[in-house]
Amino acid sequence: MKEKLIEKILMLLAFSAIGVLLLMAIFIFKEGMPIIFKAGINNFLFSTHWAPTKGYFGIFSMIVSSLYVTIGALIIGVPLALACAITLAELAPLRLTVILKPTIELLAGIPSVVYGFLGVVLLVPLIRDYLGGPGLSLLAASMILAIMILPTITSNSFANHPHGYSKSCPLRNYYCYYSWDGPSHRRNHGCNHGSRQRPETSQFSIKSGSPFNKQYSFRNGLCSRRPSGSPLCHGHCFVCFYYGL
Amino acid sequence: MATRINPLISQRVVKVQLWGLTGFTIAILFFIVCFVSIKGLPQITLDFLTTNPGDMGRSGGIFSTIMSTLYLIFIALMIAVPLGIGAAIYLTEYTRESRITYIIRFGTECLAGIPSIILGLFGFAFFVMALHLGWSILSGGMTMSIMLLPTIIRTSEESIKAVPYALREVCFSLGVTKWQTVTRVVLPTALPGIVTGVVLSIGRCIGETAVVLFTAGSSLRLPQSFFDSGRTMAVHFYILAREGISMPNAYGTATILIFSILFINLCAYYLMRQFLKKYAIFG
Repeated sequence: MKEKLIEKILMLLAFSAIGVLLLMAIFIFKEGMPIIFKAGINNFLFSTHWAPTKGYFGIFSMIVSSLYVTIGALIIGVPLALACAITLAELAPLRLTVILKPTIELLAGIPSVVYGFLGVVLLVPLIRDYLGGPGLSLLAASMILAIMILPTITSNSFANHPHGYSKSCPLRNYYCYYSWDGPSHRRNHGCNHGSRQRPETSQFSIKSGSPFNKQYSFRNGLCSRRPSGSPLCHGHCFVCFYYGL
Repeated sequence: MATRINPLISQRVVKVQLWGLTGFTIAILFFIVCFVSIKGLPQITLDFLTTNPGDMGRSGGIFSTIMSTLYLIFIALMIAVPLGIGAAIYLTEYTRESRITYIIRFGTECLAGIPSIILGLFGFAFFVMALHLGWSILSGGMTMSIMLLPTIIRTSEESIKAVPYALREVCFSLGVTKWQTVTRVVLPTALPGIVTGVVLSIGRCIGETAVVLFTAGSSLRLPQSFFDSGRTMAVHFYILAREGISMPNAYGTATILIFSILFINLCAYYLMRQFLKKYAIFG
């Protein structure tokens, strides 16, 4: 009898994970959908006019800059991460790998605010001085994101290492294998990882600031909508909210 | 027709490239840690760690932020650990692989993938506004526990699965009930793995800014109760850096953040190695 009770309790706990997810989805949809339908789904997704206090909710520029930043981060980060994974798996002696691999994973634990902060303090002036423009740019954001997704891709590629291949295969084949086979879905994971690195929160609003072609990162839109509790804020707050989901 | 490059030469070129890129990556990562530490270590004195921030963070230390962080972690773990371990036990011990376990696992994976700012906004909408908890450590902790839940479920499941089935067979043959097996045999054996997962999630918790910013507020006072608002270290760092209030203090906070996370992750690695060593005997 007691066993049955315990089993039921545990089942409830297990369903709590889905329960929370459902609760989140319901809540976000409940708050966000009315605004989206008021603005019209076409307008919402494909218009670039973002003026929430006046009732214009076009987040196209944010979608586009998110895409740019993600693609940029992948372009910069994936070759670097794959190179690391290959050297650690193939070329490095075992003792070196045992030290280096945990180091790279430890460095994945650094809070993303720190990364964002360093981007603003180090990268942005460099870009401003040498490449022109305001410095706050998609390039800076992509580079920082690339560094952040690097440990994820490296450790996952390393785990997918084809141990069965003979050592006499030329390295070129390995590189192709890594690029197209194992890590391809890891790249997607890295992509998710990159696009959800919200923690550099407003460092991005600083970095991909408005001067750059009026393209806010959509995350910027999300985080600069700091809820102040006023009813007016709630509207566009939940628009971004819904979009984020 | 192009001549073929000697494969040995191309092999050597690729090797040099790969080593170069790897070295570059590791150099970047080390540079980040060293840069922040060099700028921040001079800031860290006993005074810095034990006085409250004054003058909006321009002077004084970060004591209240450290305490807020600890309170937040405490609440988050209080909620997430029993939930997570219970869910893991259910998934591994009480059911076979079926539709239901697939759905639960899928739900957990989805939760793991949600951007933290969405979690922060959900926490704000639900805990702070709808449940009228206000900006408090409690709502921050509850939102944070949602974030930690997938990690804890996953690591607990892995470590419980790693317990050899022979132990459970022996228990059943002795007439021990299922729950007794779980609590007295399986869980203690799986404990190092579970604790590793918990320690890793503490590390994540410390560095989280977006979740806490929207749910626990950013009051500089030492929180007197769990319904008080409080500012964690990561949020403090973010505010100092963003508003340009005090760069030296920002670097000091960042250094403490980085070092505490590195320390926590090292502990987790150490625990994991103990766990693996124990199971080397079982193979």
